[in-house]
Amino acid sequence: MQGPSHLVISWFVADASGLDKPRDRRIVAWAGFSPDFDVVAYVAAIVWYGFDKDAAFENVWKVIHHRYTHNLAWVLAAGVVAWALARGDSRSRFKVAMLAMLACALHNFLDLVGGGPTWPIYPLAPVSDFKWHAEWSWTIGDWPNIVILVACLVGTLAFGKWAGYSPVECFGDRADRWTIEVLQRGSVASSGRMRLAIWAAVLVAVVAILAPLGFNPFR
Amino acid sequence: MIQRVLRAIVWASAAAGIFMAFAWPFVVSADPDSALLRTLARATVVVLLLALSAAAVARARHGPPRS
Repeated sequence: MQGPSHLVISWFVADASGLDKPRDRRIVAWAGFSPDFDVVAYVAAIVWYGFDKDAAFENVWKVIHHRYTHNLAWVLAAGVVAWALARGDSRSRFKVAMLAMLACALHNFLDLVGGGPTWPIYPLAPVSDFKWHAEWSWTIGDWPNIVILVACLVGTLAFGKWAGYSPVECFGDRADRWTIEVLQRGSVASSGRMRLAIWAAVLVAVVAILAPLGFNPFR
Repeated sequence: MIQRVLRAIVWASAAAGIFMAFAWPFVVSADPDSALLRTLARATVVVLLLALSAAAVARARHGPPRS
């Protein structure tokens, strides 16, 4: 399942669970996304191999994706990190940590269903190399994954417009306020630096999406 | 009340999914291609996403929570 889908679904799990502080929702959302942190290695490999995505895939991505982050140990680690990052009394920090672990574990289930048959999860790693994957699992390009991704993105914007806050707060309170201002008022009063940051993020996202597809302006 | 019910459905479907990811091969069956697992897993995803959507609508009606 696409990374943005994991992030948005995890955020809505946090919101539905009654977390009223943006920081807490942010922690749970990123905990839910965190098993896909290994994509950083793929991006680095693409750069390392001169935008040769085949070499990056064979030498790095194929070896490490899911291998070290899609397991119970990572779920437990996510809980510890969430506890450390959360603020407030012990009870609220415990709730955040538990929801972070739930979101992280849920990521593994969603990848079992929508990660594709060639990308197993390793539920008992590092204790065991047992792989768990199914031939009926949707690949990234299958229509259910695309529908879920589009629904997450549309849901983010619709929720933001009606509720006054949104999953964009995963990228900071200012980014969320800017987004809500655009959604609810159709314009932004003044945001020169924020606008520059948004365009830079869009550019990075475009490169990150096109690079694995073979687009290489340097060839 | 409705938000509590939806929250319970979200948690229950998440728990069911987590069971299928981490416990099913050791407790139920090590065959990942069984029709039962495929049906239950996909149904759980649908229930989870519908419950999240309904919960989001319910939360949106009440506006921004206190932070």
